[in-house]
This record gives sequence, structure tokens and C-alpha cells, in this order.
Amino acid sequence: MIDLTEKYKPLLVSELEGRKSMVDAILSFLDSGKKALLIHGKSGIGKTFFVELCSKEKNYELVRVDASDRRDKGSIESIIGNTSKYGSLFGMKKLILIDELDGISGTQDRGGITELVSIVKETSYPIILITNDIRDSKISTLKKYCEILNFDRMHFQTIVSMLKKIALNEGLNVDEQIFRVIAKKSEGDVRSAILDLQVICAGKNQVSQNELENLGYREKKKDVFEALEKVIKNRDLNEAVHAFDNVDMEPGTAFLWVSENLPIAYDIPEIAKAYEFLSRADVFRGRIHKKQFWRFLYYQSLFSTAGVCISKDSEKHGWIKYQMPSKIMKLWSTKSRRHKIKEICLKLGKEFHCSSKIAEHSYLSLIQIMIKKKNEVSFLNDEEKEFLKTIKLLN
Amino acid sequence: MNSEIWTEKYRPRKLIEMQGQKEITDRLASFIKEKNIPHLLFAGPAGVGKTTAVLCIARELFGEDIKNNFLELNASDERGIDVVRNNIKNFARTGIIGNYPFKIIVLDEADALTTEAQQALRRTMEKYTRTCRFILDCNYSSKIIDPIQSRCAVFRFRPLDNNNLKEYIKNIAKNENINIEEKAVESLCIICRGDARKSTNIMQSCSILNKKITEEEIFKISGYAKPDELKEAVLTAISGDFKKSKSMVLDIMINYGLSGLDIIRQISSIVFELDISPESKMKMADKIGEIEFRMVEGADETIQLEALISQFCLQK
Repeated sequence: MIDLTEKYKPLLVSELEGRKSMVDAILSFLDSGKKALLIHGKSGIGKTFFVELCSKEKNYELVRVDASDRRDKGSIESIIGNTSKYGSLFGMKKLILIDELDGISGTQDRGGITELVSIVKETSYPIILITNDIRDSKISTLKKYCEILNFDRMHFQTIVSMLKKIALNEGLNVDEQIFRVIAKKSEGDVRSAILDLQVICAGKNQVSQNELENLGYREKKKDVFEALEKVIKNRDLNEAVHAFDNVDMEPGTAFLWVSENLPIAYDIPEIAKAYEFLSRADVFRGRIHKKQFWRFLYYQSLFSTAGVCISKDSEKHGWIKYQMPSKIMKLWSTKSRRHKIKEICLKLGKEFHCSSKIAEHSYLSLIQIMIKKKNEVSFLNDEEKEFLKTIKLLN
Repeated sequence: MNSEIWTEKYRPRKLIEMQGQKEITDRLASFIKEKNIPHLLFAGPAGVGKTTAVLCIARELFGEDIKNNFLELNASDERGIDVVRNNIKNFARTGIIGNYPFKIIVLDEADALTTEAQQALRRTMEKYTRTCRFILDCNYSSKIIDPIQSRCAVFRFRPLDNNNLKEYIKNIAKNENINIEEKAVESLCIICRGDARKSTNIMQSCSILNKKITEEEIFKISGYAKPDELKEAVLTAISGDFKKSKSMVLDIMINYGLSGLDIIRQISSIVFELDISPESKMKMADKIGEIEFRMVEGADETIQLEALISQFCLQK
């Protein structure tokens, strides 16, 4: 649940009934005085969140280790080895949470699992471990010393009603069918369901069933949204640098997505700072085009992601209504039209000794007026004339 | 020759008829007299006579044989340097028709070529230098690589000054028998900033729609962003509303078909009419200069404009 905003946690709590048995299992583990509990289940179904919730309920101080920490033998010992033996500073009971157990690497975090086993054996405080895959051979020894709790995936109906609440909260008017399709596609993963909703509702208040078409494209858009979260919402430099690495799109297009969406979340001084980076990035982009120095791509993407990311003082909270770049939409909707105009302008360019670009800029509107008023231009054929009559020129 | 479109109808046929580039045309004329032209590089803004000068040279040099000895290529439309090279090769391979020392190849918008393509072009130029002369047209000579520049005689075309442009406009008006207000001529000069092609096209559009051309009409057709609208957008930015100002400026660009550079230039004069401290004015002017520079260097004009707007938002 780490990606869910504070804003939606209360909504989740109200869905507790559906998961009562699991909450009970965690609570009774805390009461039992047993040493370790291993929770497993699919990602995005609330494992971490419910542990946090229970520790609050029972007044535990939560000591956590997750994938962002190094977890070799020495580090684990120094972080939780001592904690597990000595009392809390504030006299509170302590609960040790080791999240993302799958992420403990065999080579980099050498000895980490073995150390965990010995800590689990000796600890004087309860330890909860979380993993996606219970069958991983790495943890086969560890398993023997833990109680095991399986988290089911979220029920279909639960996700539907949760999405509805979020939509209501955001003032979105969404077709009922959309909730159901998203919930089904998520296969119990709440986190991805909410992101899907965010994708589909981007920039709209009214969402009809038609939006479900082109789901293939939505998949791609989802990748973009995840990347945007890293750049615009979060404030982790290293994550932001690689935000668009796995998104299948040209660097220039990624650029447009960032610039379109940053004013939605940033305040004025942040916008100015971020645009300073974008502007610098664009200069490098120009140099790449003109001089073919592809090495500069590094600076272009660095400035347009990490630069934008750190232009804010702290990470952004809440739901950001990401929008598709208006420029792309315009280009899309006018593609075939633009192709025809280009053809005509190539012809005009030959006639008037200039490029098609200049012909479009300087001559097209004049010729359109001539056709409309007199219909007497010798250098275009009838079809071309008719076409020019019907279109409204963008420039 | 096309006589429906005035830019063609009134395109000067001889160097001596050209307005406003006297020093250049004099020197070009002496090249022609000696029948010895070096490679040429013409740099300058749009609509000031670069292509016209090329056409004049070719016409005066080759007369009737112009078709066989003169090749026009446009770098921004011919896809890739290979197309350019093949076209040049095919043209240069055939002999010179008539008693002339060389053929002429003109490459329009040469600054649209990448550095790599320019390197290839340079070799091509060297290869055919005995039979062909190259004339390169561009907006910015700084975008042409040094080895090419050093092989060419560089001529910098300036925008026509208002007197020259007025004379040119009035000449057309007289010949076409149209009634154009003096004030309309004035504003046409202001809008076009020495761009003869633009002024001619605007005038012709107006003349089709109305018998008498007024200042109003000129503004309407030219799509010149009324200073008021852009000023409004700048004020919105200064008041701190980035999103609104951004969409206002983009609308102005689209509705009036202006480039980012057009907008920047208008903004730079607007700033000095604003009711803000002199220090702020200079600060803004500094930003505008920096952004205009980046616009020339960069790839996406709208990004640069938005960056400028965001800076204005800080000026509160």
C-alpha cells in the first residue's frame, strides 16, 4: 500500500470488514507473545498497510526495514539486532517489520537471511516479515521459525466499492461498467486498480464506457503515469532519473508529458524552477538534433526528469489529475489532414521557390481566400481546391 | 512565372530592381559581369530577397538556358542528405549547356541540414567545384559549419527598412489599382518588419476581400496578435496565474499562426509598457533575451515560452 496516499487510507479502513480475519490474525499474533509472523500474498493487497494499522491499534513502536535499506549481515544486525534485545526509548513496546523479503539479494546482501534466522530465534520483540512469494527457496529455513499467514487477494466487490468511493470523493462521474472492468483486470491488486482509475479519468470529470476502448494504449499510458508519479509526485532523485527508462516512448514525447503535467501539481516558484530545467533540457535536445550528439541525450533526460523532480521542496500528496499532452492530441486528431496539407504545400513550395514549411506559413491562407472568393488558382487541381475550402487552418 | 500570386508577379527580375540590399546586389552584379562567381552563402531573415537574388543571378547569367544550368533544392523538404547528393550528382554529371563557365546549384534553407549532412555536403561541393557553383540560403549563418562558411563568400541580408518596404508596397498598389490607406501601409510595415513576402501576401488577401484596404483589415488578415491580447497574457503571468497565461499565449500562437520567436519579440517590447519598476523590467528583459537565445538553440519553442512565462510569474 505504500503508493496509496494518506488521503485514501481512511477509505481502506472502512473496508476492514472484508479482511477482518486477517486483522484478527495479526492482532492475536501480537498478543500471543510468539516471536515471528511471516505474511505472504500478492502485491498491492494491503499487507504492509494492515501491519501498520495493527501496530497503531496496539500501541507498538514500528521499527521497519525495507528494500531501500541495505540488508547484508552487518546492516541487519546493526539495525534490528540491537533493537531486538534492548527496550524502546519511550518505553513503548516495539514491533519489527521486515518488508519486501523477496528483495533481499543473494549476493549484495550476503548473509542477510542467515542473520535474520538468528535474530528471529533470539528476539525479545515480535517480528513481522512480509514477502510475495512463500515458496522462495531463500527463506525455506526462516519459514520454520515463523508463524505463517496468507493474505488473500482483495475481493472483486471490495475493489469495486473502493473505486466508487474514490471517484465520489474526487467528484468524478464514472460509468459503473468501468469500475467493474478495472477491478477485474486488477486481479485483486488494489494499488494497480487505483492507478488504472487514475489513468482512465485523467483530466476528465465525466467518464463514459467508451474510454475502455484501446485498452492496449491505456497499458502504455499506465507506464507513463507511473513514470510521472516518480517525477512529479515523489521526490527521489535516483528514481526520477530512471523514471522513463521502461516507458516505450521517444524522449521528446516524455518531455511533453512532463511539461503538460507539472503545472497541475507544482506551485509557482516550483514551476519556474522546473521550467528552468526543462528549458535547459530543450537546448540539449536542439543540440542533439542539429549536431547529432546523442551523448547529450543523457543531459536532456536528466534535466527533464530529475531536474523537474527536485524542483519541489517535498513530495506531493494526493491524487494528481494527469493529462495527456494537448499538443499530442492535436497532432493525433489532425494526422491525415496534416498529411494532405503537407502535400499541397510541397506543390506550392515548388511554385513559389520556398520550402513546404514556408509555403504553409506564408501562402496557404492567401490561397484559401482566393479559392473561396474566386476559385481561380491554376496550380492546384479540383480535389485540392475542394479540400482547402473545407478546412479551417490552424495557422 | 505565376502571375496570380503577387509575390511572384512582382518578384524583381533583375538585381538592380531589388529593394534595400544595394551593397549586396552591386557586388553580385559585378560577379556576373566578370562571369566569375565564388560559392555563395546568403544569410538573413525570411522575405528579404535571398531567393530572389539567387533567381536574378541565374537569370542574368544563363538567360534562356536557365532550365538546364540551374538546380533548386530545398534542404528542409528533400529527405536526407542522400537525396540531396544524388540530385546534385545527376545534375552536375551532365555537361554545361551553352557557353558558360559553370552551372549553379542553390540549396535553400541549408541550416535545416544536420552537421553530419553538412559535412557530406562539403565533400560534394569540393567534388563538383570545377563545374558547379553552390549558393546556400539560410536564416542563421552560425548554423552552417565553418568548413563550408570558409569556402563561401558570405552575404548578410538585412530586413528591408520601412522606406524601402513602403515603396515596394505602394508600387504594387499602383499597378494593381487598389486603394490602400496610408495608415494601413504604416501598420503593414510594423507588422512585417522588413519581410516583403509577408507584406505582399497580406495585402493580396485584403484586396480579395475588400476594395479599400484599411488598417483594421490589415490587422484582421495578418493575424497579428493585437498587442492588447499579448499584454493581457503577460499581465496574467505577472499576477501569478501560470496555467491561464500559458493557455492564453498558446491560443494566440495558434489563432494567429505566430512562431515562438514572433511572440518573444512582441513580448520584449510589451515589457517596457508595463507599470512595473525599472529593475523588474530589466530583469524580465534579461530573461527574455536568454529564452530567445535558447529558442534558437533548442528544439521546442513552446517549452521555452512556457519557461519564460513561469519566470514572469515570479516577478510579482
